[in-house]
Amino acid sequence: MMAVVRDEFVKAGGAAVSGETHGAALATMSTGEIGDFVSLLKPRVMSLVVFTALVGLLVTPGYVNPVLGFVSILAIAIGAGASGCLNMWWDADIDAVMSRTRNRPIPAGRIMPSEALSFGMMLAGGSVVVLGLASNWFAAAFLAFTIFFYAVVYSMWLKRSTPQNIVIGGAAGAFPPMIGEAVVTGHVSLDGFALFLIIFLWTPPHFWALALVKSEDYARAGIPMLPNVAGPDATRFQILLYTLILAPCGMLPFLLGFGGAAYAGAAVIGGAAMLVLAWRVYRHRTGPIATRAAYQLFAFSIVYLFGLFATLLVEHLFGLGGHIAVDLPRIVALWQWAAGSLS
Amino acid sequence: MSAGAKRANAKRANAKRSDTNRGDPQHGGKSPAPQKQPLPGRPAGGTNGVEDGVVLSPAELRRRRTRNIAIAVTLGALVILFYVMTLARLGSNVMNRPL
Repeated sequence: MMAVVRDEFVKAGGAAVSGETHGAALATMSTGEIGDFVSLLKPRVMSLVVFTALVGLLVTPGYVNPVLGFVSILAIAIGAGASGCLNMWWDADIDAVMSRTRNRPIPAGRIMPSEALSFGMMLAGGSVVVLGLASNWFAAAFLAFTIFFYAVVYSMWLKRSTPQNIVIGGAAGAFPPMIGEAVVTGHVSLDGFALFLIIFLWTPPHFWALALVKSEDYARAGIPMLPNVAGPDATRFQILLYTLILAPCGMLPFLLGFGGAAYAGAAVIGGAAMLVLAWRVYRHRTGPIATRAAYQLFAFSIVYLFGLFATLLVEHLFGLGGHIAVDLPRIVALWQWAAGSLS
Repeated sequence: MSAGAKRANAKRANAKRSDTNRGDPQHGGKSPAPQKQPLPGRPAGGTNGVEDGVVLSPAELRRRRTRNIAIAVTLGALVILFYVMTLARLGSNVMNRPL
């Protein structure tokens, strides 16, 4: 059903649903400004990708030429922008019926769908080639896979077909630290996977908190978000569940030895705050207090993720990261010794 | 869309392009009086029923100019980027050549 609407939308030059902007979008010449093309790249999402990839790159032991490191991060940023652009091209029809997205360049008729498609494909190809030339082809292939995962697996397939869309699709947003690590070493390790896991587990509480508030918008667009399919209460439970797993996983960088004491402190405090907020979302189910709880969790989740990665970054910039690393085998031995003593 | 329909569309597009370029000296045209069709959704220009083709508004002209400048700047930046990348990749080997 949605695919048919999308096709009609594209055939009509991108304004089949947007009503008022119909005339503008019928024009066959581009009327887009530079700002419209920039907004196709989803700058806010791009900034998160750049930041997490930069942290992945900097916390990985090894040497990268600063110029090539900068170019690699730039390529990852452009790759992320290309994903966003292709997503906007594909989702133009549903963007047009959602209040949050109806002013985006394609539904508003400022940029034609075909322009966005060309722009996105060109940036995707260019970013992969530049990353391959600047670092290595494993990192480039990883970036290409990430773009494919976001644009095809998430946008074209999962988003309109399953309420687990953002859980699985969230992997695309979690890959950048691993790409950053691959830029340095040419492969990925448990450290990169730990950073991936934090973002991966962070995504559901973050987006479902927003979906709880914007569920009518998603319903109007026909997107099967969890609150629309399973109901708000089930969503609240899932948010709490994911946060319960996320909070201890936030400690992984410290336990694996590449996060220091400051990171451990940030992870404990941030994780506890996330749990409190998730509990409040679970408890308050109606009225303005429920809406406020969901908004607070959504807003704080951004601070939480930024805080964790920023602390890692600062620690490594000042040479503090991993100095007070915990020896996992020693912890296990201590635990066994304590258990033996008690018994 | 069938292959036949695609071919027909391509033919029409080529014919239109050829009409458009006829009066353009850059495309080898001689006469400066082409009969252009207005784009859908846009008013036709010209007087006495003679159409001038697409007439861009000042705002559209400005936007097109800005886009062109942005493309030029991007291409220039890419040239510099590849040059700097090459130097960084070669490192000190850039000086290592038989004299």
